Amino acid sequence: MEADRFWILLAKKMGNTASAAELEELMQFKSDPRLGQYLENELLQAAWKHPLDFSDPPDVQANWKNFREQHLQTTLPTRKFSRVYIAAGLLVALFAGYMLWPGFQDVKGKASNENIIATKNGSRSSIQLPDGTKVSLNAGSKLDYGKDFGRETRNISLSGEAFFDVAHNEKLPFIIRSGNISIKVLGTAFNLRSYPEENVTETTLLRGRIELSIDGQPNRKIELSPNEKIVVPRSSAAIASGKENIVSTTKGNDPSDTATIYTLSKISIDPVLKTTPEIAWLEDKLVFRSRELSLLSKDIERWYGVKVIISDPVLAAKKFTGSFDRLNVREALDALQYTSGFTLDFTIEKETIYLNPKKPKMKR
Amino acid sequence: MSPLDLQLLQEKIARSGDELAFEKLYHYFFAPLYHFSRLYTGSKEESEEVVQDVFTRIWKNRETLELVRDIRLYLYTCVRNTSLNYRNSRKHFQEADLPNSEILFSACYNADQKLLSGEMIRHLNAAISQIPPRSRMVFKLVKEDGLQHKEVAELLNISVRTVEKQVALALKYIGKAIGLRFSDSK
Repeated sequence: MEADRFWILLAKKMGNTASAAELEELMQFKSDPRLGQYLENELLQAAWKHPLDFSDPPDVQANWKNFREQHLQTTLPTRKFSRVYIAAGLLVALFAGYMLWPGFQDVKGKASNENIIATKNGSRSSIQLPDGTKVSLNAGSKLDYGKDFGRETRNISLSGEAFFDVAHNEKLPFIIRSGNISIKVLGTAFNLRSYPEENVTETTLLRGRIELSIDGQPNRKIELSPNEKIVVPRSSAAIASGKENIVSTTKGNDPSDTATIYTLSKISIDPVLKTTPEIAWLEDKLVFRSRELSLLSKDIERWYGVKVIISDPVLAAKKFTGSFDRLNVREALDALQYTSGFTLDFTIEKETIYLNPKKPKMKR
Repeated sequence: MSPLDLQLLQEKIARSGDELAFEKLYHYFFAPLYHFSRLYTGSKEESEEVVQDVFTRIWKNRETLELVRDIRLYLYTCVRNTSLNYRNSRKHFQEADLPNSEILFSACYNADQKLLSGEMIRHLNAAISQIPPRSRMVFKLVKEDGLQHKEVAELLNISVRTVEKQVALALKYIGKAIGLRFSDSK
């Protein structure tokens, strides 16, 4: 039947499988009194594009939760947890500091927090806390919170890096501890970078307001506005010795205070890298600005879950600027080599990467 | 998601066990695969189990995921095979062309309100429910899930010609709903 042939040709056209001859054949129907109107018909196109609904849809969220609980979340024994906690070095020395955070008396008292979520090197994860807060965890990071999180209190502690989109709850302030800082939020989105191996913590606020305190300085509460970032050195020695340090900040500055040096700055999109470096990891970009190779290699270790060994100390002190935008490890190393002006060479042996200096070829 | 995006996800999952990438893959494919599975199984629970099963196997064997050339077709094929296994292991068979999940044009979506009124959607749904369920499924796979005629044929073990005929049938009924008349009624 002629009409049948028409619909088959149209089906092939919609499916992009029609040959040039078939398309021509289809066009010949244009003059057909009944069928011609379906060609280049707006309504037909709209109907084809219109999404379908299904009765009895699946519960994807529930299934994902199930899957994640069974196959993805790693839990560490509590013994390891208390070791890390004490390694922060502040538990005993700053007992006094805790008294000002009533919620923390409970946390300190418990020998073990009930819930621990961790990511290995080379792996990133995102979870939702019982109060609805969404957290993205970068590689090599650990979050832990108590059983009654979301009910009595919202206390949580982080080692590593995470981005928080905190659910709004005026009655229960969200308090996160990491290293020597505490952050109190009501509802907001911010990034906290606090790897124990690094000697600073970096808190970047995207929206809302947060109040940050440094252990040992209960009177100083630093409020951050959106697009501000604060870098606090981890040094407990500076606090304990009561050294007088000059606070180098752009606001809230009283030089007569004995205080840890911290730096407050505004974040912005880096014109060279075309991204806001502090949260680029959320877009799967590993971004670095004037970063010493010794530190960058640690970032690479965490990001890819590999080991990096640099033989030459001169090479290790070299600074690099760039970004790995969704690159795999080989591509990243190629990019690094290119950035170095080919003064860097690498070899890969299983999961270990060796970085060596390379003499540039002599031009003749 | 473009084929390139999918490939990137595949790489991340295979090479570094990237859980975030896996989550993206999971959320992107779960519902379409589930609805496809409904063609074979009798229930929502069974299809959810089937898809979960497939994703579990993929995660467990993630290192080899990079070797898969077309992840989309791979997923659909796994779901088909797993669904058939589930069906075969049950005592009584369910007819393959009686999915319990209905396929209809979305009443909530607003973007082309100017072209497709609520009434028009109703006409479309009335028309689409007249074609046999198998054709509706073919229609969904081609139109909604973006599978090629060749892929659908391979997946459902039917000829490309049959796929074309079934899409043609769906188009004809859509044309009918739009209200333009044609005199051969089949």
